[in-house]
Amino acid sequence: MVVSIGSLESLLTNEEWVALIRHIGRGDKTALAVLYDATGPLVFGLVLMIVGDRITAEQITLDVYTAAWKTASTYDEGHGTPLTWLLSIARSKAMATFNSQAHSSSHRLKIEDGYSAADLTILDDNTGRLSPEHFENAGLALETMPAEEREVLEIAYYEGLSAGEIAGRLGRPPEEVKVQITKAMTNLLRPIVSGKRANA
Amino acid sequence: MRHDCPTHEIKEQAALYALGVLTHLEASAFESHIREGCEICRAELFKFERAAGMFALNAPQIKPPAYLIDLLQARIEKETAARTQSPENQFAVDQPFLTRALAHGRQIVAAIPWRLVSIRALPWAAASAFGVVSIMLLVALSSAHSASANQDHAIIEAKKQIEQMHGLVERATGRSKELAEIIAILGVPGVRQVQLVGEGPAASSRITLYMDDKSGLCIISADQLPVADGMVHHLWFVTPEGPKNAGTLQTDENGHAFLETSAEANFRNLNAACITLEPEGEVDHPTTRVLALGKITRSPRVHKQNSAATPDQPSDSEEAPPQHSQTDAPEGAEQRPRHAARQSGTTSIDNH
Repeated sequence: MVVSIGSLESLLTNEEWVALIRHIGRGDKTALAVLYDATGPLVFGLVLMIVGDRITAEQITLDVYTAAWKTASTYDEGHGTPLTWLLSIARSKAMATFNSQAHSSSHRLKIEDGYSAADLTILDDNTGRLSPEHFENAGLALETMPAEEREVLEIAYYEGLSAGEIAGRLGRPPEEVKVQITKAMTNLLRPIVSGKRANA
Repeated sequence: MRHDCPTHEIKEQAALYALGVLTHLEASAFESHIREGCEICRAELFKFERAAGMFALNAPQIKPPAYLIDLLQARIEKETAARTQSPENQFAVDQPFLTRALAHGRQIVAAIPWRLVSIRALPWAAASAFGVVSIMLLVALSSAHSASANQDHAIIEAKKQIEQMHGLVERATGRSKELAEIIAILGVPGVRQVQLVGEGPAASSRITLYMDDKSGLCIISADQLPVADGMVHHLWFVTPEGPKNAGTLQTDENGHAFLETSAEANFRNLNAACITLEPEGEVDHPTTRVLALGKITRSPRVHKQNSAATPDQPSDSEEAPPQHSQTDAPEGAEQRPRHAARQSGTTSIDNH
């Protein structure tokens, strides 16, 4: 079932997110429960996208929050927002499992359904507040991104293939793939940096 | 070498590194460069790591199964127990209780976005802090939490053991009653004892039938019967007119069954007894293969298992039901299904 993150119905300030992580770092189980409740669908969805198997995704999701519980005390604001920190853990663990199990891409989930992201929030650099508009912009950046850039980005992110491997699969020169990945990533950044919707 | 401005090459390296798609050698080289203190590359990497995070936010949001938070809770409790056993945390526990707990409580109340705590998370949350209607309650819960988590675990384990003990006691009590019944019937002069021999999945079953000719009382005790969901064991008396249902066995999960019943017909008209595994519900004739069969002879003597009849022993001998020869089988259909079952393993008893 694809759902929106309804539990994030109210905007959180960056201070609140960071406070949440700090409390987890001090061993506060309530804070971990709040984090899980707010981000569980996001983490589970991401992990499932990578590993393509619900049972495995459930185990990895448990691993992700257990890792968050153990390492929250070392969380460094300078290296990203709490959400990107958490998602980084999720992707890292999912990718490690995916690589170890040598899944074939045919087992991978496809994004068949759209999802309502209007109430999902991310950090706004200027206000320090999490803005649904910016998440929407990020989605728009993907939607308006040239198909070949989005394709290499999705393969790189969800499958962890190197530029050379992606090039081999798509029959494109490696240098072209590298350029496309860089452009795609830059496009994703555009809404955060400028506060405006990304242009194709 | 430190860079002065972000070049295309720097952006590319940072973007590929942030996505984790550089080769091992390339990634190592980039990390070394960052460690050397190139702030330009560090800033680019930071930007692209955030871009990767942005991309992750576009993954479909899929609600995890509800039980996952319970599994997570169990894991965290385990982690917490491990933490509290470390010397570092032992020291923390020794801090002045009120000061520490009050400070901790105030921090939680001030910083946790309570509106995000869902109903589903409440039981867990309540164990730590959300159940607080006052700071003092939070203090008590926060302080006692680690200890109570261990105690809870011990209580759960103890309850499990008590339940297991209850089960063992009930089973032992039931078996002692059964033994008393068997001893009582064995005390009756002329009572007959018949061993039923299992087939296929019931090959290791131990089944004994006790029959009192005078009272018509009949007891069957069975162990290691094969069990299956939605299926029950039926006892059948095989007569010249065909098999008659003698009752349903209440078989437990270990394959033990005990049944006290009575034979409607005169025991002397019974040729054999057998057991089948039938779908739940009433059945008036066997519909599945015979699991175990025992010949009922006319001689009121004790039968023993695994001592097959020999040609020089008549069909009414006290030996176990025939296994190798049809010549010692009594007349009637009761031996045919058994023989056929040994041949094909699939034969059912029909009315003959």
